[in-house]
Amino acid sequence: MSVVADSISVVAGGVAILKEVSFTAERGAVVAIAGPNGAGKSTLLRALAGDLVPDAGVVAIGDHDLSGMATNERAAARAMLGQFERHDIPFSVREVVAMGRYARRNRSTAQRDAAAVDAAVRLLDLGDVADRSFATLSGGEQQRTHVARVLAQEATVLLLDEPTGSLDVGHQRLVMTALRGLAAEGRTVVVVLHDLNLAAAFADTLVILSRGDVVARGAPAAALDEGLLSAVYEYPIRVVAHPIHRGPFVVPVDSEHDRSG
Amino acid sequence: MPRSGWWMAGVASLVTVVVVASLFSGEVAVSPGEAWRSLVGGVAGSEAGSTAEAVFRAIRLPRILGALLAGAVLGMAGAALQGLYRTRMADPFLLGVSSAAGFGAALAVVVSPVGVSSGVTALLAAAAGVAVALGTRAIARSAGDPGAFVLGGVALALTLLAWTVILIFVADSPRLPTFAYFVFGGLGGLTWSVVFWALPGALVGMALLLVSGRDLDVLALGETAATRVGVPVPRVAAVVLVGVGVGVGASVALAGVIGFVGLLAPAAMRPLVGPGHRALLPASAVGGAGMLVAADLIARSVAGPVEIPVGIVTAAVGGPLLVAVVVRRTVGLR
Repeated sequence: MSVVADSISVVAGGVAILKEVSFTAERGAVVAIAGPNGAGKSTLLRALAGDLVPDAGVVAIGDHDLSGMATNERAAARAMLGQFERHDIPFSVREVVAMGRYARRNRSTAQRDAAAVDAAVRLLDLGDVADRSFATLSGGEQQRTHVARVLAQEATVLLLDEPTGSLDVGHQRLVMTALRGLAAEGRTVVVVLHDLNLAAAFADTLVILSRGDVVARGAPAAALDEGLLSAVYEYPIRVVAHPIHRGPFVVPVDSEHDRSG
Repeated sequence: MPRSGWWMAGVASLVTVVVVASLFSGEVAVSPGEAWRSLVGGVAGSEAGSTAEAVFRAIRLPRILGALLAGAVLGMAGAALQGLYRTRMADPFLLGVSSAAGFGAALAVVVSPVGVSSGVTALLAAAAGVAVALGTRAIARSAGDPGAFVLGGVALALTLLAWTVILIFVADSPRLPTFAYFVFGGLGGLTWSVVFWALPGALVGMALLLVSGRDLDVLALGETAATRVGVPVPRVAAVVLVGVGVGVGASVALAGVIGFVGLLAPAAMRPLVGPGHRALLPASAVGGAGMLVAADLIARSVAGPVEIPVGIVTAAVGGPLLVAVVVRRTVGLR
């Protein structure tokens, strides 16, 4: 199923957070949303998830208007990883991941639930800590647990706000590879990323937001424009060829701190 | 049997010992034979054969059954509130629910013309309990952090207590219990009639909490994340809070306003059965029941023929625990 936002606006405290933003993520695609702090990325994701109702415009998953869906219907259609998930959950990793199965509790068997939880635990490399108390884990392990919980929900649309924020480089790749795999199976993946190179490596489409507007949209090679990025991030940025795969590679130009000069 | 099962068997055995000790403690000595004849006679509907039999049947049994019920409800209500609000400081007394039910019970005595029935008392106590229990969600939503939330509840509890005391003084009714009953609780003079009228509320309240066990587990994710996985949070909160209000209303009709059992019982049971509410809720009920019977036994044993209000005993133990919770900064659930 695709997820579509049609000309949505969100106003908070008299400030326009999103200004008539239109957004589409098709089935089977990984769409990355990037942009500077305060651009409206998380607000857009929360509107796509139905956490907030836009002041104008409509969000639809497949053919269904999100605002008309019941809580459990929404949970079957989309899963969402928030930017700020709790760290003080007094359950084991496996139990936290199993909470993602809540919406399917009456339509799934215990074996099916256990299989989905096991698969998510394995995919996120949590096998060694699966029976440990969630509250005792490192920040990165906790983040992977929350991602695993979102995957265990088996929703058709996956919305993730900075899923790699606390992760080391290996686990960043692990999470993004897992999301790519799910997209290949027909899920729709929308992911907010600060790391433009991660977006360039794993996204089919990159959407760049600035001050509540979409300022670029397209394949990463097209969306990652030096002039645009430098203006949006208010910092000089170069886009060069990646030394190995020759794709776009974003480099901030740290001239004042350039140790070679 | 899992480890938590063995622990619960141990706790249940301990509670049984306390109940038996309580049944046979008091000014009037009752032998096991007299207790048996009293029970059999009570079931058959015949008159008590001796003073001991009469005391056992009309005073000891309703008192201890009432203490078990009230303690079970308070323990389970505490566990449910702690799950709903994700703080180990939540307790029906600290959040004002018990004081509200106390105000309802006092109001029942004042507004009814003559000879208020136990039914009206239980009903008004439950209604006031439900109203304030539902109100705690509004406090929680605006308070933000658990400390401010519980402080708001305590302020509400003290306000309701003050109004109850004002009501007692203004009404000046000989039919009203003393205000100590509304501050520290009391199980003395509990009759079968009160137990009979409080029983449905206690059972309905606990049933509403028990069906919410899995929902309360998932609420550990926080309300936003729980909603995202499909928990209908407003409905779950309403069911839990109505359960707490109705149950606590019954406990106040039985035993007056008693604090800290809702704090102590889950704190004692969580290390034994874990954080999952499908085990923690019934375990806290068993623990709370045992604690209140034990507290009552202490209350009527330590000062000879004079009874200390049972809530004084629970506060003497529960107060320091609350301080410990605050000092250790285990405000959020761990």
